[in-house]
Amino acid sequence: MESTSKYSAIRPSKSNFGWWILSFLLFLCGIGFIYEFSVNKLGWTFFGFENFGLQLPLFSGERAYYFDIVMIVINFVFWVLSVFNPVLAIIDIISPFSLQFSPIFISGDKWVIIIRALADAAIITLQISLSSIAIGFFIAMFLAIVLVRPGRVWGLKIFSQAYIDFFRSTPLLVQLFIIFFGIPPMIQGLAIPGFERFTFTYIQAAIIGLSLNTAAYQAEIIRGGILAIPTGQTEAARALGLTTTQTMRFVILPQALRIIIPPFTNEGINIILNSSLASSISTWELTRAARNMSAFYYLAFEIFLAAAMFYFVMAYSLARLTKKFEIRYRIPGLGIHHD
Amino acid sequence: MTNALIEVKNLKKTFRTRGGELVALQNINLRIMPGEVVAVIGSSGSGKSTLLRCMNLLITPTEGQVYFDGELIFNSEAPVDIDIDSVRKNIGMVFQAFNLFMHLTVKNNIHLALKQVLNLPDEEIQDRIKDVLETVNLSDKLNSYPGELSGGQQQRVAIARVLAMRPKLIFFDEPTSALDPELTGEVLEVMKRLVTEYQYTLVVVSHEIPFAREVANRVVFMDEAEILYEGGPDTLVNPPNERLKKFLSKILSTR
Ligand SMILES: Nc1ncnc2c1ncn2[C@@H]1O[C@H](COP(=O)(O)OP(=O)(O)OP(=O)(O)O)[C@@H](O)[C@H]1O
Ligand SMILES: [Mg+2]
Repeated sequence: MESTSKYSAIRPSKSNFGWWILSFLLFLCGIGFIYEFSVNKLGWTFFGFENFGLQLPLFSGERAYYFDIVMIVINFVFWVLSVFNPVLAIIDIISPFSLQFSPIFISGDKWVIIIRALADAAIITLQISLSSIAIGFFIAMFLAIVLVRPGRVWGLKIFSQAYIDFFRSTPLLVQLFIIFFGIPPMIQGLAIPGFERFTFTYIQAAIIGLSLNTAAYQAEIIRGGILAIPTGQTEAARALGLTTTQTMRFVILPQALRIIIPPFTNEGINIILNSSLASSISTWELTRAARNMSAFYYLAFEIFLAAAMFYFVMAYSLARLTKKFEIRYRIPGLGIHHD
Repeated sequence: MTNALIEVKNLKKTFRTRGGELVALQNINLRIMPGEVVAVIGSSGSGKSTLLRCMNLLITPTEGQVYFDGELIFNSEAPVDIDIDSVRKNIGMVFQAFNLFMHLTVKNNIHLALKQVLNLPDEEIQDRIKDVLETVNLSDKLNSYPGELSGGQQQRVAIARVLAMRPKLIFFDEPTSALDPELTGEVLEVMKRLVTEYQYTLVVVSHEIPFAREVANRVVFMDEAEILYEGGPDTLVNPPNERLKKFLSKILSTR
């Protein structure tokens, strides 16, 4: 009798969750592979970016290493984010000329150099923080969904909780130190062929540290958003026959992501501003540039004020931008009524 | 003999609460036959909503068996190998609080399950959306968001969303109790049409006694987690015994 059941449990969509992650990773690897191939084999460059200082043994030796895949994925993400470069370059070019005539700061060549350098460094800050926010968001989504899923998901729940607890309860600066000073010697010590001289570039270390850190905070923000959706929404979805995964994807997340825009903006701003900590691992970004130049020109007040203004513009623009999203994607019937 | 659409045997549901165990349902035996309209009546907290939720397994019963269309879909003694989602798409449910998806337009509220659960071709989905919105008289609200509709309109959209799935039976959990009296009428009107024009099988938790009397074939009285009495619709006007009479007047007075 059981074999003829119309309601047999055998249905591929039940295992959607794992497949999604797996195919996404494969997709990233695939594109990363193409990217690596074009850079290392064909000698192409993208937007002036070379290989981010990494010497990958994938195409130089005979052997392919498991660890390559991870590096390729990371490289790919950097590459994707480098699409911001042209836009930023335009800002870079415009800014010195327009500021040159500013009566307060500009007094000859010195200020052109300073502002140009600060603008350059601000672009790096922007790259670091935007990449971190984006990479952190993917990790955070994963962590949050794992945590709110009913039932147990292998050992993933424990892992996610431990991850969040660790990254929220230790200082970002210490995390950056661990990644930049701690990890490379450890990998070198493993004596894996091709990795004897492994290091992160300054920018890589900053992006890895900031994205791992923000992922923990973002995960809790997303989780909070999910928990704020009334149970009735889930009940209605499940009663219609949607699976847990479909309910999450089509009913819960679209609403939760709208709710979390304000706290998410907070976290984004935090990351832009906290990326200044990367100056402590010698990453050349806005704060580092400001420090170096103030030491060189003895103009601490003016230069740090200028740096603060660059930060302000970035943080403030992000806040304005997400405010736009907030209004645009407002759900009628939720929150305080606007006419 | 035809199969009962839904059958529950010896159903029991307890909730763990701060005050200890709370028995929400016990000794429940119920059969819903195709074409039947069953009204469930009982005081607040007697377990009516819990009963509906147990029947489509939105909550897991503590004890007992549930059959859908002759097939065992839940057994507290042994796990049943069943895909509950493919059962649920045959059982519509309309809630007291409407529970429309707030971020989707009326059209997309209906569209979602047709696409994701039934996987219908687009033309068929469009046809069904048009059909059901005509049935509930809301064709003009296609692109409105739930937050832009009145309570009565929202509930009719919720009914449309369920109808579009062409379920074998529909549960109504106090569909009008969150509505003003003027809005109640339009929802009951639609529900009546489901029975007279479309011969749907319904299980309706409701305190609308005139409606139950007119539309139901059978009335189930629930009190303190148990089924107190089952009878025809006329038991609502002529309660067969004193106890039921008291019970009815109690429910009606608290409303
Ligand atoms: N999730 C839950 N956790 C704990 N107790 C619950 C839960 N759901 C229901 N109950 C309890 O179970 C009992 C029955 O609840 P139920 O909602 O089924 O009543 P009802 O007959 O539908 O009442 P009403 O007419 O007010 O809707 C109540 O005492 C309620 O407090
Ligand atoms: Mg109820």
